Amino acid sequence: MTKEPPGYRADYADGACTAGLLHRSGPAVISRPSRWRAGRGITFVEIMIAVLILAALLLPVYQFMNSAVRETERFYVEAVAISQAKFIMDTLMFQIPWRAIRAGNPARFEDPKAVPAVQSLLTALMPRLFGSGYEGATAGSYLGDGLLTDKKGFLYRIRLKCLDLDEVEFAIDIPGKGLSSFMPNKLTPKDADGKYSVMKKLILEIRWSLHKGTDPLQDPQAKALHLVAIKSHLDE
Amino acid sequence: MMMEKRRRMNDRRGIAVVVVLFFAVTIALLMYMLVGSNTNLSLQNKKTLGQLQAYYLAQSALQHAMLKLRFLPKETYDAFAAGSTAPYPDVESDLHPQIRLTKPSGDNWSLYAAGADDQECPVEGKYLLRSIRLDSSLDGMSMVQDGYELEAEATVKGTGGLTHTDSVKEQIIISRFTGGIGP
Repeated sequence: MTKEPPGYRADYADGACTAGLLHRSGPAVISRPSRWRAGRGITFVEIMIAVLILAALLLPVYQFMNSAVRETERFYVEAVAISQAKFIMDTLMFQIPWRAIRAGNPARFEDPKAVPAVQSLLTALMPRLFGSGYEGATAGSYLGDGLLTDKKGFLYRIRLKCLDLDEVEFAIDIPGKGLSSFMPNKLTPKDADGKYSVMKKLILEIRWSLHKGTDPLQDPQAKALHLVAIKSHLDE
Repeated sequence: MMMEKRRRMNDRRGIAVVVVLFFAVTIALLMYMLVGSNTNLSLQNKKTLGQLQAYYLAQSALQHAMLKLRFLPKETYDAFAAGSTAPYPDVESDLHPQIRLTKPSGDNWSLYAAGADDQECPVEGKYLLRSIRLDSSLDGMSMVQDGYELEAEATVKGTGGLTHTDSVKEQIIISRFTGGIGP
């Protein structure tokens, strides 16, 4: 028994037809033999079609990944803003003396006792807290307001509002004596701003734009976060 | 021989479906993971901010109570000596109009907007003193000091219907007659 070569067809052997052409009674019909049987490769057109199909499949994936990168950047900016807000609030609540945070929108930072250590602390802290633009009207005076730029070039507007809470009552319930209430003016002398204030409400706002280099105050799509805390006069 | 070869070809033809399905499942998994990770990041940031806010309000409550200890050290000791367990009923943000934390109706509240009302606050929540306990008293020759343990709690309503709660506990020593607070 003879071994047939790959792609062998009996009708080739008897000369009835040539490869790719079948002679029938009608007009000649061009036909391609099976790729598998003929052992042929894949044509360039087929490769191009396959590439097109693949591209059509990968296009939405690319778009999705592109938007995912943008989203990741959005979360990065938000995380930076949260981190800065935490740093500012920790500093305000636990580091800066109560008397040096003065009421206003934006708040003022100025030590009425002008203690050199406190002045140095404020001078060192202000650029880290508010970036730039926090300079006050006089030397040693600062504003709770500024513009911070992160390493990627996003801009953050930071503002602190401080309110004196001078009408908060202090009550104590002593068994046998009942409830006694005290207003701050019975408990403390006036502060440097002429108020009987022993608590301050601190409201922090950080505003940022999702476009690099854009001032958030100029961007109507800017995002913002807020933190609120009440600081009590525990310094002395 | 031919039949054998044809059978093998037919066997191999089915692999195209498997390859396509594998490819589709891989892409679907990739997209699902990306969507999931982004959603997690967004939720994580919201939770972090809410927890931070709750923490600062709890610290505010603690400072509020410590301020009362500083101003009323003798009265506080007298209250405990007379059998009180809760001498500070007013260390609660909702009880003080100036402290109350009620969010304004609009979402666009900003410190940069002109004419912002002093009563308005961008955060909705409350704080309170959960407990105060007289731990110890030192009645020495040169000083009279009392040790207290305080626990404060805060709750904040965050975005997306999330509620965040935090509590802080602290022990302090206070001079009964000068009101000086120790570590």
